[in-house]
Amino acid sequence: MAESVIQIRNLSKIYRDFWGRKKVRALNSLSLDVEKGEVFGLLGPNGSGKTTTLKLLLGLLFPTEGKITVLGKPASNVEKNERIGYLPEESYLYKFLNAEETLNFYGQLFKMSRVERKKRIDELIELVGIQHARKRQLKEYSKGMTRRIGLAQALINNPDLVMLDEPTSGLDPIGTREMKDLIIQLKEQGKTVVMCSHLLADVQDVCDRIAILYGGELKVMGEVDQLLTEQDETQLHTSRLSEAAISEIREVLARHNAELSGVEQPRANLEDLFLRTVHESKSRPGRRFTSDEAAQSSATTAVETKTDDKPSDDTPDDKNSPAS
Amino acid sequence: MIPNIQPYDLMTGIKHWATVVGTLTGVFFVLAVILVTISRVVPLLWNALLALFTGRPFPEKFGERLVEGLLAGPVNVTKGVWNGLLDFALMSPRRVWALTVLTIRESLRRKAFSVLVIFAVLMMFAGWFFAGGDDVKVYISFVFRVISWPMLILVLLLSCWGLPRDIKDRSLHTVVTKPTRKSEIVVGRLLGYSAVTTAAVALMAVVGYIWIVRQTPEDARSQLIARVPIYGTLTYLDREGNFAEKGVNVGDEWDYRGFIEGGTRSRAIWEFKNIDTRRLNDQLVIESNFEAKRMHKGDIGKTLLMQYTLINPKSGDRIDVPQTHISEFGENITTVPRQFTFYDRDTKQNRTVDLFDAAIADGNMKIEVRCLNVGQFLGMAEADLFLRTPNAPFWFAYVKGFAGTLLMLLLVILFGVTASCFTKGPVATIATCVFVLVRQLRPFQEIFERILNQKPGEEILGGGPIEATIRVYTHLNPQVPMHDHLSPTGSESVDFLIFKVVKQIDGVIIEGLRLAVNVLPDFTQFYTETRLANGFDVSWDTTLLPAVTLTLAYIIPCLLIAYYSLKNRELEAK
Amino acid sequence: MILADMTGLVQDYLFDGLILVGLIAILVVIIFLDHLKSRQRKLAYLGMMVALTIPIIYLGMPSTPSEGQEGGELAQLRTEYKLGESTLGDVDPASSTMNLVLLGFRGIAASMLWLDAKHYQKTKDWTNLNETVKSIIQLQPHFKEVWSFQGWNLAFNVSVEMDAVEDRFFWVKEGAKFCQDGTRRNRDAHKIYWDVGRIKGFKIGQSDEWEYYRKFFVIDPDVERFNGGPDREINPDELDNYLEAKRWFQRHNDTDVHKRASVNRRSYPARAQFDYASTRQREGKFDETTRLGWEQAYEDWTQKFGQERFMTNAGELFLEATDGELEVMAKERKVDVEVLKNRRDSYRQTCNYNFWKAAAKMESRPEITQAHKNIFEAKHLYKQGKTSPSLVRPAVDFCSRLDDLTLTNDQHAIAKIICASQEPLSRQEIVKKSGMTSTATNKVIAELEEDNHVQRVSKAQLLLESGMLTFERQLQNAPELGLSGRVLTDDEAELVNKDRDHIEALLEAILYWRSIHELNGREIPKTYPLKSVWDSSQELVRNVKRQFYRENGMAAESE
Repeated sequence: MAESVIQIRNLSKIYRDFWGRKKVRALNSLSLDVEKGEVFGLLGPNGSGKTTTLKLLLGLLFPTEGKITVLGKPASNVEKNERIGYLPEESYLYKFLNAEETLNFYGQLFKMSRVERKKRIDELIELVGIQHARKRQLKEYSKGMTRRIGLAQALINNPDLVMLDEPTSGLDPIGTREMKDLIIQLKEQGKTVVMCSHLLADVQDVCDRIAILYGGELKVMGEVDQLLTEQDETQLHTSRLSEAAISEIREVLARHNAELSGVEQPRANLEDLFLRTVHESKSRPGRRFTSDEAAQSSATTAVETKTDDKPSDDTPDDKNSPAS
Repeated sequence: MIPNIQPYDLMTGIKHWATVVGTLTGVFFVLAVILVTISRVVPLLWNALLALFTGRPFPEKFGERLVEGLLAGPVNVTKGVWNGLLDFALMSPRRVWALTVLTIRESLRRKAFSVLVIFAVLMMFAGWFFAGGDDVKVYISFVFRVISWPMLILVLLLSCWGLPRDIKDRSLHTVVTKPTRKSEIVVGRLLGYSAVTTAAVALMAVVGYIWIVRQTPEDARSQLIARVPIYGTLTYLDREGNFAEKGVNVGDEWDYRGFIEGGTRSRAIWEFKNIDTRRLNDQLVIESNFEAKRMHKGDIGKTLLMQYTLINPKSGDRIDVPQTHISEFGENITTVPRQFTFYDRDTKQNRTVDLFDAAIADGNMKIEVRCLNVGQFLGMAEADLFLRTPNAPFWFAYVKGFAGTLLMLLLVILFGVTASCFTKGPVATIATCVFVLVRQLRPFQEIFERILNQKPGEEILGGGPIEATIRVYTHLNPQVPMHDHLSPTGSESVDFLIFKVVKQIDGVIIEGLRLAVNVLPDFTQFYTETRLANGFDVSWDTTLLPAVTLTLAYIIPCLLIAYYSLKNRELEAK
Repeated sequence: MILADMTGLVQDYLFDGLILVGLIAILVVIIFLDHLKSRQRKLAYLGMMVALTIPIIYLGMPSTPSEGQEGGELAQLRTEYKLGESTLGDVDPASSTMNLVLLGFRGIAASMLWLDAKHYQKTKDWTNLNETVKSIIQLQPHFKEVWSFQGWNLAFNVSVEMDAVEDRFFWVKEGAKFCQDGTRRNRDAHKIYWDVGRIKGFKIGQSDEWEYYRKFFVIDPDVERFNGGPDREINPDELDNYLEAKRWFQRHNDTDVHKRASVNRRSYPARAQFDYASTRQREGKFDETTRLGWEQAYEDWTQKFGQERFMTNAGELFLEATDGELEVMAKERKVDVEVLKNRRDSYRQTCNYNFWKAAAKMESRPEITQAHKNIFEAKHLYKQGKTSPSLVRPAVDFCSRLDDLTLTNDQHAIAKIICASQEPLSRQEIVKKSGMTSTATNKVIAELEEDNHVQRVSKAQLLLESGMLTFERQLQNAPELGLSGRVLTDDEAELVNKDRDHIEALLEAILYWRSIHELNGREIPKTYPLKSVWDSSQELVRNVKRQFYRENGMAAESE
C-alpha cells in the first residue's frame, strides 16, 4: 500500500464570531487519506468546505477538533513546506514585484543554490509562457497571466505535494487544457496532486480518486473509475452500421439475456472540436467552416473503438502539429 | 532643557530591564497556563456537574481527561515557548534576507517614501525665509525637527500598515505556505524598514548639514562647535562658610539653580576627579554659565563680579584667578595658562606655579566660585561650570545627534511592526502613537513624575483617580483628609470604610500606572540634538548610551510579542 | 439723467438678469432634453457655462491689492467692511499655511504652545520662549490680547531677569517690536498701538534704568549693528523716546475711530509730551528746548486734547468747554446746565485736566525754567560739598534803613558796598572794593552778621531761595496746583489731585535748603518761601527725606 501523504482524522472546523458564538460549522468530523503519487480531487458545491479543508491542510486555519498530518508532520509545522507547492484560487502575490523578482523571492525561501534557483526560474517562466512579460510588474498582468505566474511560484521548489485550489476555474478552454496536461505531467513525475474544484468535467479528466463534500461532511469517496463506471452496462464502439446489422445485433443480445439500451452516433468531445478549430484558425486564417463541413470532418474521425474512458492517444495536440 | 551630565549607569539599567522583563514574562507564562487549563478543564467539570444533577450521561474517561486537561496547561505552554525559541534560533539568514529585500522593495515602490523626502526638502526651502539671526541653536533645532517629524509619520505608516496590508491582500498567505518561520517574517520586516529609514535619514542629514553651514552667517560660523566638557560635582557653602547641600532659593519657581550670596563667605565648589591632564592642552580653560540675581539695583552699568579660586584638594593650596564680570548671554571663558603668576593673599606677593602640579593632585582638583557684589546673588547648577578640552569636530557631533534620531525611529518601527502583528492598521497606528507620545506630552509628564518620585509609604497629594474625582466634585482641598469633611452615609464608621476602599482601589490603579510608566519608553532620551544645538559634543556615555539601551531594551520583548501574536493568528479568518 | 438712471438700473439688474437667464436656459434644456440630440445638448451647456461665468467673475473675483485690482463686487465689499484677512492687516503666508495644515486643531495647538511658553519662561529659556510666542502669533494673529500681553511680558518681566543693562534693553526692545508687529497684523486694534507707546514711553523713561534706556534708545548699545545710531526698527527718526511714544499714542487715538477708549487713555499723546519735557528736566536740561516742550504740552493739552469731542450721558462734551459754552449747549439741548457742568468737571477730574493745564502753563514760563535751573545747580553744588557760606548779602530791610542805623565807619563802608551790589558778593570781592585788609573786612562782616544786618550764605542757598520764591509766586497765581498753601475751598480741594512729583520736587528743594542751614549751623528762619507747602505735606516729607539721604549717601535719620 502506498504511503499516505496526507492523513485527516475527525477534522472539524467551526467559525466563531467575535464574541465566541458559533457561526458556521464548516467541517464536521472529516476523515480521509491521500496516497502518494495520486491525483486527488475534492469536490463539492460552493460552501461545502473544500477550500476550508485545503486551508486547514496548509496551516492557514486552525482546526477546532481533529488531527491533520501532512508528509508525516502536523499541519502547523513549517519545515514540511519545503516539499509543498500551493496554487491559490486567486493569486495572492506581491503586485509591486515583476515575474523574475517574484520567483526569485519565493525561490529564496527554499533550500536551493543560486544557480539552481536561476535555472528553475528560467524553466518555469518558459513553462508557463510569460517570457514576454518577465520584467513587468505583476500589477499590470491580466488574469490569465497572474494565474500562470501563480502556478510558476507553486512549482518553484519542485514540490512532492502540489495543492491546487480551483485550478481551472476562470480559464478559457485552451488554458484549461494546458492546466490539465500539466497536472498529468506532474503525476507522471511521481508527484501527489490535491485539487479542489467544482468544474466536474475537468476533475473527471485528471483525477484518480475523488471525495465529494456537502455541508462540511464527506459524502462519497473513492476511485473515479470505480465510481463512474456503470457496472451494469457495456459500451461497444463499431464502424458505421446499417439498420439490418443493428437488428441482427439486437437478436444476438436477446439470446444472451441482454438489452440494447441505445443506438446512436457517438459524439466527439466539444473540447477537442474547440481546440482543433482554434488551432486551425491560427494556421489558416480567414477561412470559416460551415456546419456541413464541420459535421463532415467530425464524421470521418468519430468512429473509433472505445472500450474505456481514458482519453484517447490521439488527443488534440499542442499548437505545432496540424490536424490530420 | 536640563543637560544630563551624569554618565549612564549601564549595570543598573540592565538589572532594571532584567527585572521588568523577567517579571512580565513570568506573569504572562502563568496567565497562559491558567487560560489553557481553564479552557480544557472547565467544560469538562461543567459537563460532569450537569451529569450529576440532571442525569445526563457522565463524560467518558473523565479521570483520564481531567488529568490530561490539568497537564495540558504547563505542557502546552512550555512546548509553545520552546518552539518559539527554536524558531528564533533556527532562522535562516537567506530567508530573512529575502524578506528584508522584499520589504525594502515594497517601501520604495509604494512611493510614500519619495513623497516625504520631497516634503522634507521643501520644508528646508521654507527655512530660507528665516530672519537670518545669529543663533545657530535655531538652525540646528530646525533641521532636526524638519527631518524627524516627517520621518516619524513615514515610519508610522510603513510599520503599522505593512503587515496588515499583507494579511488583507493575502499575499502573506503565499509566503506562509512556504517554509518560512514567523520569526523570519517579523525580523525580515523589521530589518527592511530599518534599512529604508536609515538610508532616508542619512540622506536628509547630509542635506541638512549643508543647509546649516550655508545658512549660518559668516560671523556666526564659530558657533558651530562641539565642546567637550569635563564636569565636576557641585556643593555649596552658606553665608557663614558652612557646608550646604543646596544653594539659596531666591524665589524662582524653578529650582534648578542654587544661589550664593555675594560679599559673604558663601561659595560654590566644584570637585573634579580623575582629570586626564593630557586632554587639557597645557592650560586650564574654565567655562561657566551662571545666572545673576540682583536684589538691589547696584551699579546698573556693570554686570556682577565673580572670582574663581583653584584649590588643591590634598595640600589645600589656593590659587586665585583674576576676577571677571559675568556675561549672562555671552561667553564666560577664562583661560589660565599652565605657568601661571598670581597674587597670593597669604604671602602678599606674586607667585608663579605650574598649574598641573600645584592645583591638581592625583587627578583631583577643586574650583571655588564667589560673588563679589554685596547683596547680589549668583546662581549655578552642576552643569554650569566645566573645564574645556579641545573641541570635537562639529560634523561628528552632528552625526551622533542623528544617531539619536535614528534610534528613535527604529524603536517606533519596532512598536509598529509588533502592534500590527495583532491588530489592524489604524489600531496599530494609534497604539504606536500613544506609546510614542504619552511620556512626552507636558500634561502627562507632571503626573508621571509624581508617580515615579513617590516614596514608599508616602501618599500622592490629592490621591488617585477616584479620590481626585471626589475632591473635584466636592471642592475639597487636597491638604485635608476626606473623612474629616465628607460624610456620604452619615455613619462615621461606614464612611471611613468607604474611603478606605476608595484608597485601596486607587492604590491598585496607581500601581498599574507605575507599571505602565516603567514600561513606556521615555522618548526624551532620544533628543540628542539639544546638546548639539547648545554647542556641546554628543557624548557617548551621558547622551548616546541611554538612547541605545532604550531601543535595545525593547527588542527582545517586542520580538516575542510579535512572533507569538503572528503565530497564533488565523491568517485566513475573516 | 434718465440714461444714467437706466444704466444704473441695467447695471444693477443686468447680472442678476444674466443669472436668471442662465437658470431658465438650464430648465428649458432639461425639459426638452430628450428632443435634443447629444451635440445640441453640449452646445447648450457650453452656452450656459459662458453665460454664468460672467456674473461669477463680476461678483467673486478676488482682489489683488498689489496689482491694484479691486476684484469683483464681493471682494470690494470685503475691503470696504474690512472683513477679509488681507484687510485686517498684513497677511503672513506661513501663518495661513500653518492654520490650514492643522485642520481645525488650531485651538489645541495654540493651547499647547502656551503651556510650552510658560515652561520656557519658568526655565529661563529665552530663545525658545521667543520662538514659541512667535509660533502662537502665527496661529492666532488676530487674538489681540496675546499681542498686548506678550509684548508687556517681554518688556517688563523678561527684561528684568537679565543682569547686564544692555541685555535688559534688548528685551524691552523685543517687547516693543512685538507689539509693533501686532499693529501691522491688526491695523484696527487700537489698544496695541497704545501698548507700543507704553513701552517706548513709560518703560524706557521711568524704570530704574531710565538714564541708560533713554540713551540707548537713541544710540543703541549694539554699536556693530547700528553704527552708533538707534535701532531703526523702533526709533526710525532718532527721536527722544517720549516723542516716539507720543506718535504711537496718537496713532492709538487716530485708529480708535469710534472713541471706544476712555478719555483718560486718549490723553496720552499730550501726556507723552509732558513726560518729554519733565524728563529733560530730570536730566538737568533746562534750556529753551525744554521750555518749548512745555509750551507744546500746553497746546497739546488744551487745543488738541481739550477740544476733543466725546460722548457722555448728557450729550457730547469737550474738556476745554467754558461755562458760557456750556450754557449755550444746555439751551440747545434743553437740559439743565448744571448737569453739563457736573459731567464736564467729573471728566476733568479723572484726567486731572486743570492741574496739568496749569502746570504746563507755569512750566512754559521762562522764569520757571530759570527757577528749575537754579535749584538743579544748587543741588549739584550741594553734592559736590560746596555749601560753605561764602557770599554776603544784606538782611531783608537793611539797605533801606541803612541811614537810620548806628554803624561804625567801617561797618558803614562795608554796608554800603554790600547794599550797592545787586548780587551778593563774596568776601574777596568786598575786600577788594573796600580797600581794607581781609582781616579787617572779615571782622566787620562778622560784626554786621552778629547784629543780623547781613547774612552769609552759600551760593547754593541763594539759588534755592530764588527758585523757591519764583515758585511760590507762581503757585499763588495758580490755585489749581493746590500748592499755594492757602486754604482751598472744598470744591477746589476736591478738584485737585495733588501731583506728588511736583510737590516732592519742591519739598526736595526745601530740604536741601534746610540741610544747608544745618550744615552751616544756622537756624531755620520762621518764614521762608513755600513754607506752607512744607507744613501741609509732612507725609510726603518723609519719602523725600529718605530719597535725599540715599542720594547723598547719608545714613537715615531716626525719626
